[in-house]
Amino acid sequence: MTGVSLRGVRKSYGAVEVIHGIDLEIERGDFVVFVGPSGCGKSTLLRMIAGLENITSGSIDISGKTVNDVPSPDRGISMVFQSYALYPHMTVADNMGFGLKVRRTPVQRIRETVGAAAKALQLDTYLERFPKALSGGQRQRVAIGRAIVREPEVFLFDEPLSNLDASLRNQTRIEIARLHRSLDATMIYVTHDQIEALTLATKIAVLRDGVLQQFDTPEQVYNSPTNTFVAGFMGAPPMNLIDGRVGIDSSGLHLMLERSDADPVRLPLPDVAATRQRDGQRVVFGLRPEVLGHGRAGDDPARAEMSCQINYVEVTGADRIAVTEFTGGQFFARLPAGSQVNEGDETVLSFDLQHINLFDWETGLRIETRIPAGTAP
Amino acid sequence: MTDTRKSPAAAMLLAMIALIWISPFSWLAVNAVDPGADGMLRWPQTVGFDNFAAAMSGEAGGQFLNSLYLSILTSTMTAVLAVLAAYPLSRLRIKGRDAFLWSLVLLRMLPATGVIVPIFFTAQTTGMLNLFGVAIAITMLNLPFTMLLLKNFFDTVPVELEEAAYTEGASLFQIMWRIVLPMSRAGIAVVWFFSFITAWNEFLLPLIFVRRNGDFPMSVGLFASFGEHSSVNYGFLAAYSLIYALPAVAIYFMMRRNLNTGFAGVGVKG
Repeated sequence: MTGVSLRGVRKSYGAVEVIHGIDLEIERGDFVVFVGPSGCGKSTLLRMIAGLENITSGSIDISGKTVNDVPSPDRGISMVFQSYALYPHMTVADNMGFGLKVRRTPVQRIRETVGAAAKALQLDTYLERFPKALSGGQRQRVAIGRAIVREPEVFLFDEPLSNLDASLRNQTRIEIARLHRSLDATMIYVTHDQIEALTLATKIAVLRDGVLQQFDTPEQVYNSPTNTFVAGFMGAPPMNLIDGRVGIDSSGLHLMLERSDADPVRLPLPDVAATRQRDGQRVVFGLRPEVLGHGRAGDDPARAEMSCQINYVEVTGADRIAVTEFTGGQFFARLPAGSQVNEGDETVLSFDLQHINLFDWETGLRIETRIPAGTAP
Repeated sequence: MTDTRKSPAAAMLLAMIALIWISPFSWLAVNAVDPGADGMLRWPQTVGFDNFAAAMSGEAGGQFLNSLYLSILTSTMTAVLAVLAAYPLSRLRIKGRDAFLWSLVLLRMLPATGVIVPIFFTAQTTGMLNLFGVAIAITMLNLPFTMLLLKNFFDTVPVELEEAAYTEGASLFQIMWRIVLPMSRAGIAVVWFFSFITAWNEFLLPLIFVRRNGDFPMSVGLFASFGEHSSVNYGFLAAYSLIYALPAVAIYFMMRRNLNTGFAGVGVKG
């Protein structure tokens, strides 16, 4: 059964269209993260689902009911704001119970519901405090508690962790994940942080300039990005994207990556229709930095290698990031901290061929080179 | 600041300046507590509260009540109307809003006496030449300033709080009553006290509006008392003046207590 359904949703401010026809089906119980750079429209989309912004065209359904013209309080949603939006002149208990009070819920029931939510969030000793006496993390929990108390069908989170420091962010992220499991609720979460997206989501919607780029599981978004934007946005450091050219010679189908100060790198490509028909064409080659290893490929036919000169090394504690140059741009390899790779070294890097991603040079769209089992090449 | 421990001359100079400042009040004090006051600035010959009693009873007492009625009515009307006008000014994107706000600034700067004549004739035509009419006139004259003040106060209430309340099911009235107004207590207090004092101090409008002796507020009563008797009753006048000045002092202390609050930033991070 569908939790939230968006069909052809568009949003314009006057003559300027900011959301361009979004289609999404969010299943009940899903944790969907809208992720993208600033200005991509993720918050606007969330606010349209919440009922805080009008929908210019298209429709939004929540639990099978079209809610375009339904006022926000009647949509069965609860929102957690980036700035917490706690009422400063009310105690924690009154903040959490405000929604129930406004709907004339009996006092006893308010007390019980608020008490239970407070206990679940470890706020029971803070119920009589005012927001100004709480830390940032505690305030965020009160905001979450206020959302829980209303027992909505869909929880909406608008960048709830962006105002917290790094350690508190990690902690609260785990709490939100735990909350999702315990409540088995549908959650829609907006963030610009792709780590939050990858760790929290059951499905990720990547947005750019008001257009949906990809809506898929974190694994798929990470390993099989639909275009160069998604490839470059997800992952830290992001996927290497280098221009290359497809060619065929006596050894078979291959990809040539030009270098200004060395011989080009020649990588074997899977001999499938998608690659064969691009003989002679430019393509974008994508490879995640962490799939590269230091050392030769050996006899393994499933691995390829490239010899390169290391121009720069960055040590990040757990990793050693080695950087080499191609004509098409810089190339990052994420190696274990103990790797014997230093600046100026002439060395060999190798990787599994299945990790190669190819994208159309003009459109940036993915060229599918991996053969699903049971399909002819 | 001058360190007066090091400079006796500076200390003397400051003391003299302070004396000159407080001398009108000390004149009032010594004459008010002396039933046989003769208008001199010196220690009272006798001490008693007869002057205060006289200033609080009869016609004088009635004038005190008139002032109270006028001031409370004006400040309450002003506060209510300013709140109702300032909220949409703060929240709605109305075409020409900024031009309208600037015109309020202009109205604030115009002298009230400049519009006294049309105000008088309006009151006369509508049968409002009384204290109630004065309250309405002062409210009108106060509204530009108070609307601007409250609009700026409402601007400091983060709109996310209202959005949060809205998603929780609060109606517009509930949002105003439970969220916006409690957070704007300081601003509303300023508006109320400011309007109270302008009405309490207002002299010209009651003078030309009020037709009956019994309806005069204290400002006019004090003026009228000057020419009333063949000899000037200094003690009575001094006591009357002190009672007249009392609310201003009370307002000062009440404002200090209220203006210390500034809740708005705490519910919202950043």
